[in-house]
Amino acid sequence: MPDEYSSGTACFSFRECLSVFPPTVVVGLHGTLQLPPWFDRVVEREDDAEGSVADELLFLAVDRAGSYGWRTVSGLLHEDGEVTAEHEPTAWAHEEVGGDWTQDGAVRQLAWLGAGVRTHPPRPGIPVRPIALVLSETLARVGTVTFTGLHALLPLHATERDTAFHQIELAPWFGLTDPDVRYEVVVTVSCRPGEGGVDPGDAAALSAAVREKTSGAVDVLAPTAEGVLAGLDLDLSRTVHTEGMREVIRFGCVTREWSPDMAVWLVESTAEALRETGRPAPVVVTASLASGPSRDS
Amino acid sequence: MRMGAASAALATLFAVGVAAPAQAADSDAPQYHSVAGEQAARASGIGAFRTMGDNVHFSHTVRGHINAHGWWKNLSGPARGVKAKVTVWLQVKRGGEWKTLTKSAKNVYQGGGSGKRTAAAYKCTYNVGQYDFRSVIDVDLIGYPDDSSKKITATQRLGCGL
Repeated sequence: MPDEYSSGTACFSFRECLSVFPPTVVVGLHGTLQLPPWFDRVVEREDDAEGSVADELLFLAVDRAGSYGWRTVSGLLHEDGEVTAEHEPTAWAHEEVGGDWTQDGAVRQLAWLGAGVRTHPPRPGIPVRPIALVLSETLARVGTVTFTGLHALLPLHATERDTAFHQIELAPWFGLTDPDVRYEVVVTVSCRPGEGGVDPGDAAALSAAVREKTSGAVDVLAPTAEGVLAGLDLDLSRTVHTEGMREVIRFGCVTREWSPDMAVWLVESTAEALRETGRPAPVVVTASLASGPSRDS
Repeated sequence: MRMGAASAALATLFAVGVAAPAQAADSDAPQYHSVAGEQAARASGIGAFRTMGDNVHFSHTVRGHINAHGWWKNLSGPARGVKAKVTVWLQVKRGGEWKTLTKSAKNVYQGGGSGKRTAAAYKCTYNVGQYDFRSVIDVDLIGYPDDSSKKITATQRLGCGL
């Protein structure tokens, strides 16, 4: 039998098989990163090292996850010639991590991490927040980050709602901030046609549900057409797991802060609302900064 | 602690080669197996380290490929600068037995990440079907006796044609 991180969905063609990935979550952070002057003095690489320095250093996020007690890789512990412990992933099953640290001042996908999610009980939910946290911490460790957006591939079809925590419970957390500061934030939802996901007709109900979950800490605006509110320019065709997806819903929000923490809340509130539409399918949800900050007079 | 010539020779004497790691193993449970060499390892002051890896998964960047990675972490014992030969077998279950699709080995420093790991990749064919895959990871610290324990990662059912 396959283990608890895998799926057993049947497929009948090569293309279909490729689209039926095991339940995989991907979280990506976007923005600009300025590396410090000391960077090259402390980062040593072998001449034949594979991948970029970003790909290598972002692997520190895996270690950081372990330090929180989130087991994400398999392993054996060898002590004095004996194997004294064996470990399996319990929080999520790490797959790949990478990022683009080109030093040209342009907004880039600074860090992303893909992982298998747990589909058998007890399901801890899709680990967007912990993955975003370890990626954010890793980026902050290597330089100065200007954060502009977050995207998450969410395997809603393979996971169930978290009955132990609801996003509205975070509203008091995000209510503790300067009430006069305003940021304009764009939320988008993308999915593949024909997979049973949301369509543009669900936009009003979805934004209303997010408005309810954010409970006054965020002003959720009416849905809008693609391109009306500028946000993250995410090329879904660039990565294997999002190929074939296209944007179906876009709405704006006014928030009192802008951070990966806030972006995750918007993404997870939207995911929770998507579940309530009764159309669970793999989706990509983004939350990105359109403008701000400004102050109410 | 680095080994002297005598202890290196002793280590060679005790080292046990395992030519076909678990290829015929039929268990689906994550597992490892240990054979001889552990006493030699204990005597050598090899200390503590971790064999680590990820489950077999679809590549996020190369369409139609599955990957498995192996790496190691030094915890105590061997001096800084020691490399290990990390070998990764990517296996598929056919006819009730595990068969190796591809094997990859590389001498790497401890740590993990793209520059400090061994990657085994398999390009899926257009043949339709879902199969069970796993990887086997062996970490052999260079200059030290091998304890011959290997990590077998959890079985993954993937739509990757053979």
